[in-house]
Amino acid sequence: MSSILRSLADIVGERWVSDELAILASYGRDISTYLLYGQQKPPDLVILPQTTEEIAQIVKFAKANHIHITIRNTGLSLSSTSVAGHGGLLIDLRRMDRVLQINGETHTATVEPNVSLAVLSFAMQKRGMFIAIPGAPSTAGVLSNYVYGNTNKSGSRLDWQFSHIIGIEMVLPDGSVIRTGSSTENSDEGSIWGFGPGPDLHYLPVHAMGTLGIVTKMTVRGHHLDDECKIFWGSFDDIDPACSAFREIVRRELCTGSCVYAGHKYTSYATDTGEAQYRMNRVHPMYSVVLTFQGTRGRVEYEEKTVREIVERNEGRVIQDKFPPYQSFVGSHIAMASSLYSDVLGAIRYWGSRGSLTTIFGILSMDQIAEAWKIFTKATLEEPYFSDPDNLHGDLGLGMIGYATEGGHYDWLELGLEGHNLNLDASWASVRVVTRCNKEFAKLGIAVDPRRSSKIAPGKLNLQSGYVDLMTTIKKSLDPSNIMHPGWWFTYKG
Amino acid sequence: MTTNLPEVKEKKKLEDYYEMALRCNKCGFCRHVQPMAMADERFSGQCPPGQNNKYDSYFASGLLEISRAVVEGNLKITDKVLEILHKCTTCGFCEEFCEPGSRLYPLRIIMALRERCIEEDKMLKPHRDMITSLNENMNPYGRPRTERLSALTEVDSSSSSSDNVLFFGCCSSYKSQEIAKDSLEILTRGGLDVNIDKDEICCGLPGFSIGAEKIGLELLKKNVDRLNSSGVKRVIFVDPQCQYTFAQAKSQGITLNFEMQHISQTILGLIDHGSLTFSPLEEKITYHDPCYLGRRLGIYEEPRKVLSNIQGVTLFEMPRTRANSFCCGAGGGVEVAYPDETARTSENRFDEAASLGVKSLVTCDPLCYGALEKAANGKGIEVYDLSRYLLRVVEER
Repeated sequence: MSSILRSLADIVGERWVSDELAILASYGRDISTYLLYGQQKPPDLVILPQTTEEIAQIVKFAKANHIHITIRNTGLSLSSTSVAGHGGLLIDLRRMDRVLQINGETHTATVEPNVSLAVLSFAMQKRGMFIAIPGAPSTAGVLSNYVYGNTNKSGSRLDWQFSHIIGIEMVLPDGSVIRTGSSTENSDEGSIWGFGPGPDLHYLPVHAMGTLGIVTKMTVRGHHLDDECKIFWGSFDDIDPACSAFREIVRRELCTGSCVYAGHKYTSYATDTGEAQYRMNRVHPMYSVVLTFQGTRGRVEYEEKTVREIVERNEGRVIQDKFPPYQSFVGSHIAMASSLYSDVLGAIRYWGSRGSLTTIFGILSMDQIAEAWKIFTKATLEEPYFSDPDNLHGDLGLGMIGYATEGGHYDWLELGLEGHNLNLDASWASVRVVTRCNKEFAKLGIAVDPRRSSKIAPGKLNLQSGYVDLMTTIKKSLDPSNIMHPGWWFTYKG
Repeated sequence: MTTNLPEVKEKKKLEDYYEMALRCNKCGFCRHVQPMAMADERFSGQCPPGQNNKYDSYFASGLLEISRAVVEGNLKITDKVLEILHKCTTCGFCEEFCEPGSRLYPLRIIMALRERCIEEDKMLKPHRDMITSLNENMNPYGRPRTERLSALTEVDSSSSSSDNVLFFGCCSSYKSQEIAKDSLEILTRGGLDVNIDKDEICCGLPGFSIGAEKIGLELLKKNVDRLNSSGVKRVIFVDPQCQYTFAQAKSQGITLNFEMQHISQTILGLIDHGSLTFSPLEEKITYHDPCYLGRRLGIYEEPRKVLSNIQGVTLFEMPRTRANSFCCGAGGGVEVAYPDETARTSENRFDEAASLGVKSLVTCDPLCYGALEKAANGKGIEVYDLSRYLLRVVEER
């Protein structure tokens, strides 16, 4: 046993650290490497701590010995954050999987990293509450998705995912532990607010340029379950009226789940097999608004009446009234559009998706959704590889989801080119599509989220230089040796 | 959701699965109960070796990465690979999701890797001993054939001309002979004329399950040839693992000239016919779905229906039930090679049953019975094989 391995074993026990190739081989890829065929980057060591204290000791040891650290939670990262790009030590948080506290009085829950969305959602619902759920499989971790700042599907009412964080406990790159929000009090009474006492630091990991620490505990906000929850689909023949209706609905603060869908994006979530998705695509309208009414009975009645008027005024049709098969997707709709109920999360059939060739995530004005979709569609259609029928094998899909966010002032847009890809030519073609879109988006002032968009070098796309400089300075001061690495795709040197 | 789980003999080699292994996108649905079916967050984990050992490598997605690395030549079949590979109980939960959704077959890949290990003569010592015993004794336990069904010496059905044969399987023929005895008795009490096949040998599953296809196929063929030539009309299986093995015979080009039934199905038929009746019993019970009976053979309802015929018995479902059932931990050769691993898994499953506050746990797979019975030791819940449970309340005709 090497001296490094022995030192780490002293911290966590011999069983929970390994340099065996058979163990390391399983840590060389994550979902982000799906595009990269057989490539993998296994770490040199894997360690599975169980407590914050153990993590702090590991980090101190790594810092003293200049060992790179990469963190893996559920391994579902879309941006390679769980792949050790430069080897070193991979900290797998799988053993930290406890729901530490659910407080019905303060409507909060405190969890360790490896608690999944499904587990916490289920536990909260048993107590009459729900948590905002991001657009991630139910198997994904609560903590990593909230930290990552994904939008949730509940649209303008519940806002960004990270706004539901009450407090975090985080191990910094020097091995010290900080707590934010009410968590600073370390009280058994339960955390109740996210701001204070002291400086508000709980957005620190959210906005990081590079990994700033390892979040080991998080307290998140819960919400009362509603008296009533109903679904609504409006379909449209064109993207412009769909977006117009969506914009009006959001700005009037109607509906919790307020998403506009184009192309395959909804069907890939709703169907449970690839074949079912193909069938669904034949009848599913190209453009739709997918909404959820939630609240008191009176509120739901008012929202439904108003939304029907808006959709019809924009030449839309209410399809769940006229197309009974859509009733079979109620579960997936509630899960996707309102993201409230884990008992229907199984209806999110990400595996029904053929996989993504590439995805672009952008923040834009509510008025720019249709324009962005058109740019994306045009760029794809004009890409020589994709315009050659011999290359498609009937397996290419374009899709878009727009989520209202920031109180309905902005839209969080997801554009996806979908298709099983074991072909590097297709992968490079998708890179060309993304590159072209990004140039066009930059002209419109659309900010692309580089952490989540495939094939985009971080820091190069439309991020304000002041923001980059500030977060880089913070990263350098907290992690001067740059031992905490954010993943394979990132070349950040610190 | 019933899936087409791996056939006993999969023609494809490990290399043929390479691209399939790459298509695993690490969604993690092979590790958790289907969210729609979640009943208790404390019991929502799946994949016994993954739950016990935590490292990614022990889950199906990790084993796909190991398979990939072996094919690429980046990983040799070391003792560690063998340990990880053979802690898989082949419960089949991973494929329950991956097959219909992504057309990925993790268990087939795992089985192909096991076959590769055998080809390279890389075997765990207990498995090597098991194969030796299969060759020499026609059972996986190293027990002489004279010990087979020793608890049934008083039974002589050789003169019977029944169309039915009761196929016990090695577990109840050697290890849990009370199950063999009870199975025969409950059928007899139901008035069914049934033969015992004194020449019954191992069905071959222990070989197939560790990747030793040659011996598995040889044993399966011997059984089928003998039963075919006997003119039997129906074979009733006490052990669903044997039934599953026989069910795969067609894919080997082997024809079965008889109908197959699990004993729970036969018992239900006798109940429906009015041949078996039970006296009331006030008791809270739960039922453990064996992986091979449930996910493999799709038999979920018959045992439950049988139990529902006992007035006063209330069946409480475990949080992980039917297609989401959690393995007892004994399958796939794990109990032979890693008994501690089996114990951890069966204790997990037993704790789940205990969380219901039931008095009895019923199952109908001798292997599951053995593992759960050990886990129950002194914890206040009785574990029963289905036949034994019914014999408590069966009425005299």
